[in-house]
Amino acid sequence: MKIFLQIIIIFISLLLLSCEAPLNVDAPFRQRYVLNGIMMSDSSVQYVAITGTYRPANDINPISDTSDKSIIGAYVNIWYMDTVHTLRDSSLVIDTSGHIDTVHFYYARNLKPNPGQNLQIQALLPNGLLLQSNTTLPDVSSGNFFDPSSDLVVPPINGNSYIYILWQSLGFVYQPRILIEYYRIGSNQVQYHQVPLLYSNQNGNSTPDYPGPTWNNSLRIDLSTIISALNEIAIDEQGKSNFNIAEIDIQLLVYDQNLSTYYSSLQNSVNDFTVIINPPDYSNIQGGYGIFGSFSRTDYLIKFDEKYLDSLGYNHQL
Amino acid sequence: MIKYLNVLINIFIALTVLVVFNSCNKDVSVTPPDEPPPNGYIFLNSNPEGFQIYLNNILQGRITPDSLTWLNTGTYNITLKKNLFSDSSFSVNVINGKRISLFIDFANDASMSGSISCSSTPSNAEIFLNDSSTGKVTPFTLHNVLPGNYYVRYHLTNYQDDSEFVTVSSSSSTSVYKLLINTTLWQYYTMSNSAIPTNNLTCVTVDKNNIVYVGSAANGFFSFDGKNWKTYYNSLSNQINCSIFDNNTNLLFGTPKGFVAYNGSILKQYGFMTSGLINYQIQSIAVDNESNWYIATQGGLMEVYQPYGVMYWLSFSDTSGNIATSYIVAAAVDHNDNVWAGILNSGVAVKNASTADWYYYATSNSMLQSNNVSAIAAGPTGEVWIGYGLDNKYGHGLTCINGSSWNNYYPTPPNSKTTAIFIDSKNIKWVGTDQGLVMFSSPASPTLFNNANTGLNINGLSGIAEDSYGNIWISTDSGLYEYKGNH
Repeated sequence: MKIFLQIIIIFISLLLLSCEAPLNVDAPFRQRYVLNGIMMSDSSVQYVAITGTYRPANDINPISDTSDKSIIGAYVNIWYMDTVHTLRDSSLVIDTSGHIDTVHFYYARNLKPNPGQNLQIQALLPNGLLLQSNTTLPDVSSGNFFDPSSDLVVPPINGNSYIYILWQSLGFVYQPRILIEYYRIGSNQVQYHQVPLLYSNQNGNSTPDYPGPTWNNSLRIDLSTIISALNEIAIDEQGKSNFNIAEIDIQLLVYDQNLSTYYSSLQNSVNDFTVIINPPDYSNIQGGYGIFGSFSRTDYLIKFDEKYLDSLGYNHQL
Repeated sequence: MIKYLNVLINIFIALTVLVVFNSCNKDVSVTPPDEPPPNGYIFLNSNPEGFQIYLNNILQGRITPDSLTWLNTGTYNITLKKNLFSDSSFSVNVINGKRISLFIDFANDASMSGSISCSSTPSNAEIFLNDSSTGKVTPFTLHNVLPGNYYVRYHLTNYQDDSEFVTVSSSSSTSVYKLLINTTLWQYYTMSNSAIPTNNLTCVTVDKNNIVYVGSAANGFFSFDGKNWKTYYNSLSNQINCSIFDNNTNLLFGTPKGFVAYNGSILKQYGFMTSGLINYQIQSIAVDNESNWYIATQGGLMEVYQPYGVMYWLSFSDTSGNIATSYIVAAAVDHNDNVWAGILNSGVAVKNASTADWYYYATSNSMLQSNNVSAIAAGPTGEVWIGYGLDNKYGHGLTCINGSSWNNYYPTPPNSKTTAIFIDSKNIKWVGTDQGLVMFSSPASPTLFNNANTGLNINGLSGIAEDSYGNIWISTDSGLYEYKGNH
């Protein structure tokens, strides 16, 4: 019986000790590479940034590591139509919150892609890794991209207290900007004043809310908002006579499929104070991560009624 | 009892072994390690350098010499392209981790080269390529010329060098033919080889000191003494229409706003408020044996005579014609001081020096070939030569009038327009046309000088003059030319 008891003790001891093995749940760090670039139809210079993932020194706060993570020495080509553009590298020194950062990037001059055209990018990293992607600029080049029912004059001739602009639905995300073009008397230099979608009242202060990316293919701006924006151009009533108001320029950036999908993936966040445990990491970079996208810009001009401007105290563009 | 105890012990031992060997059986999954990138490598160099590299028909944005790196094992199709060269394609087997170095010598590839066929008139001109002598003379074809841009120049003694930039591409032949200018016969002055202010010339006159005076379309007039050019501007107009030496001291230049008299030091202007002209648009000027001036304007013919230094402005009155108000295109005074005036599209008018009467001749009452008279010249023996502008029906010959004898001749090219007639000191006739220069002693055997047989651009001829050496000076809309073959 004593032997039996000893055997049981040995068995239990073995049972408790035999599984004691250290197991590190952290996977070994493997560097990944990120390529980001947005091709712009309204620019002849295009930019691409390539960075690498990193493990912060203290393994706790990745933001505390401010060293440059750019990948230098990559061979980056963009194929557009029948030409290949080899990107050159450069850097930019910026002051962010008191400390100096150097940002390395790649750029191509004389590359102004047209709406509807495809671009392919290939970045050969110094270690032989290849990052590839492509994008097609949204085709906004058709003559009737904006719906004919859109308002052409401020104020609208139908008597509405708002102007309404409608455009083709391509199923992409749109980023509108509303700009008043004006000139100071005696100057040929055009100036712009941005118009918000509305002015909200926060603690008694009027705060402009500018339009952000949207899936909606229409835009509505109240006349009262336009008048408020016009009033911001001149300091006072007497100063209005120093300005010629030209027109309203609706600048519409149409994101491509890649940027639209990326924008959608960001919309899962409830608010800025919410930390998502498993954030979506949409990428269209083959061989790495990041976004290679594009947008096409198209403009819609809305004239001011001259008498309307006169009534507001401004001059009208001759 | 012991038997049962042994059984129990065996069971415990078995369980113990089972637990010991199975309790640590953990499932731990591990991501496979990243595969290293492929490391195939091709270094491409070429002669000449600068070929664009295509890998599997995709432009790589690299030009030779350069390398293609991080390639997988496999067979790649490489194409090299360069402007003017034929495309060159070949396959390369790449093995991971192995470096391949390729050098393509296009300079010694006959299929890549082109040729330049060189010829000239006359032949035997030495051929220079990019200012290096080839050791060959025309006619000769330079083979195995690498594609590119070349400067081909011909050199032959007593002829002016001529040259041309040519482009040679693979498997093609480029021809360079030059009609070399005989410098023993011709000399020319243009803005490209001299300090002449403009190429667009309208008239030429040589004074008794052999200084050549040239009128221009927009730059006034200027002189050339064989070395230096001197420009003269006037306040009337820098458009010079005509010029003549008045046998005395004055060079006369007609402009659209009057005329200028230059005596070698003083330049006098005769225009609005400074002359008795009835019209200021001067088309031609003639001088008689007494150095009186006959001013042909767009509004009639005037005579200026200066007895004792006093200028008299005489407007001709004539009841039978309209010499006083007509558009006069040309004027000349013959050996007998008869005054000849070509009237725009109306033939010629002649003032008899003895009677001072005017006589009018047109196709209806004379042997004139056309009423579109463009040039008149008087010879030393009394004959007058008349040339014509373009005319659908006529306008390709000359009319010679000597006393009462009228004769038509056709020494000028068919359908040509006569722009100037000059009779030199040897009574050789020089006729300027829009198709070249015609020279003859007898109209039956003329000699034509044009671009095709001289290499000179003398088609737009406007004036002719002779210096005391017998050299003939020619003004054109493309420069000033000197013919030295008249000695």
